[in-house]
Amino acid sequence: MAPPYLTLSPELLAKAFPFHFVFNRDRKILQAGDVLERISPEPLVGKLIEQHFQINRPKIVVDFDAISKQSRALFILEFLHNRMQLKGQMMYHPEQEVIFFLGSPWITDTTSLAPLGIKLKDFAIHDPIVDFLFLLQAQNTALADAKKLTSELKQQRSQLRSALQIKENLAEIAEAQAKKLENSLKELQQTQAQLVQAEKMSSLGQLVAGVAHEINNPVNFIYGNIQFVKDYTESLLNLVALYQQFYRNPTPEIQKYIEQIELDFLLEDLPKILDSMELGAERISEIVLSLRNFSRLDEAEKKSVDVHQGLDSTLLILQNRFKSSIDHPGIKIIKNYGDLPLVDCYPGQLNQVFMNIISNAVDALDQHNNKRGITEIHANPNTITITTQIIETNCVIRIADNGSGMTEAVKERLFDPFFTTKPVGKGTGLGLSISYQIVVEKHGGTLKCISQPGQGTEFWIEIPLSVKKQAVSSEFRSQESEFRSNAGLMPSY
Amino acid sequence: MYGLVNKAIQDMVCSRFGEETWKVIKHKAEVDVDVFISMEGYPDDITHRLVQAASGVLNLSGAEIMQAFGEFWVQYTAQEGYGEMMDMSGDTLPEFLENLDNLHARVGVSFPKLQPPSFECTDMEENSLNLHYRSDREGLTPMILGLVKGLGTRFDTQVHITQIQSRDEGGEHDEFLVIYKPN
Repeated sequence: MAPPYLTLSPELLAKAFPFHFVFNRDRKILQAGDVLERISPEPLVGKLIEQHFQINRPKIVVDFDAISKQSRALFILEFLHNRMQLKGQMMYHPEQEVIFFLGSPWITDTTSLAPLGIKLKDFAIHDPIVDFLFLLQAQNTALADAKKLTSELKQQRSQLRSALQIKENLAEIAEAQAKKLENSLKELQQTQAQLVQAEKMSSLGQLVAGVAHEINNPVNFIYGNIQFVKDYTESLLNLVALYQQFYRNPTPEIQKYIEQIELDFLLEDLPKILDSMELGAERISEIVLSLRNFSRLDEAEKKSVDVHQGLDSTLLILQNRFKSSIDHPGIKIIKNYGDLPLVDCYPGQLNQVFMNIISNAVDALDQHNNKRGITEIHANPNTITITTQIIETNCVIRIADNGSGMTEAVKERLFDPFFTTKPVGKGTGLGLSISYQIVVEKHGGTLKCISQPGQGTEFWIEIPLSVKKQAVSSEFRSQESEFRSNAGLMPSY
Repeated sequence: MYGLVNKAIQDMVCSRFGEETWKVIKHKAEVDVDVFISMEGYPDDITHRLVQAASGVLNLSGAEIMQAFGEFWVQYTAQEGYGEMMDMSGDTLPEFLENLDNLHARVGVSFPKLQPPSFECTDMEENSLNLHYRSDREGLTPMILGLVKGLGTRFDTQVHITQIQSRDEGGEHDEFLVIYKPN
């Protein structure tokens, strides 16, 4: 390729490099571009380069030879009048012994142009600085877009967050209200159940108390006087025997009457009748005592009582339900009574719990029997096992039946008021709910149910012993027997 | 088309007719873009659909909208940070129009996907010139009318522009006669 032989005229060079300047060996400026001359406060031509420019790069002294050797270096000059940075190169022209600086201002922001007194159109058309600024502007626009997007995103995120917060709050409120409503409903149901049961128990208690009172007095007359009747009868019978001994031949009327009344049989049967009556009266007294025990509803304060006594009273009242009959196979009661101290409790209420649970056990066994054949019933007879024991500081009463057991679904709702598995009209659905309240709320104890289908059911009643832990002594029991035998002398209550 | 153009259409509609109208237009145009990124390239079809939908919603012809947009474009680009670039292109309307091609050439160099139009000024007289417009795109010619009017406002110059040759009518390119008089 032939070396270039054409060159620009000085005018065209000045147009192509509006920021160029030329200096000689004495560093005197011989020529300067139009724009450079325009923004300089004084003419540049004739002045030394160091009077107007400072060489920032490369780090060399301002010397013609030193500069001429740096033809491959990027020169950064500072125009001393306005701190304008010029970027370009130094080109040594040996024939003319001059150096050309060809370059242009280095700008990174269009706003910095005005303070320097230059405009973009002052740059040569080919100068890429304009495109560079254009790209910079595009970058700024993109950055502004990104900032705007970020801010919008932030705002949306914050809105989303507050929406979520609101949703969460609403959910919490809804949940709290639902819970409140559920509790209110539960409380309402419990109150209703309590009211119904209280009313029922109050009437029942009064009835039982009234019956006990009314029966107690006449029974006392009978029971208290029966011994005298027996004594007097024995005396009269002895007298009859004496008559028979000393008057062997009575008058025909007497003889006739003796035969008519079958005196021999009468003499033999009368003491038996009286014994039977005495036994009957004694049974009536026992039942009255049990009723009295059971209906201790007037006792608003806690008492130290023998739990076994309460259990026995309840069993006595329910006795006829355990007996076998034509259509009822009978229930065997197994008592595994442990050595229990007196327990601080509301005895009437606790008896009610026993009553409810044992009655339920009887009902459950009846229902179980309905699904079984006679052979099966005989092979596995109905039993209710009552176990009492002390576990740590609690008195535990376990009442278990060997019925069909319960499903999980039934167990879950067992203590709910008005929940019943019995046929309509048979159960109120209040028994266990009330029992739960009595054991848990009134006595601070626990009432739980252990049951599985086919495994029977056991209710576990735990009552804290409170202070008294002294075991019920046999002495107490003998006193109780004595108390019962003297019932005829008891004042009515 | 770069996002800047779509953004400018959005700005113009929002500033004159409100955001709700813009939402309606965008919905009608079936454009599902939340935010236009200025330097991102979008299919030309989006711009055309937006103009078409705006025409329906605003009850204006496509040409009227493009003309209004051309006028708006001058002030929009100036306010979006390209004021200095515009300053660089001239101090008077004819000077600016002469440099218009340079400006677009630079844009084309920096953003190769943009395919900017080209401009040429001929028959330059004291108060008139012929402006030649060449573009690969269809339908943007009415924008030139608005653009020159917008520039007239920028340079405080009365301007009258008429199309004297049209590509639609078989011409090789579009040509406008621009008559101006500085205030």
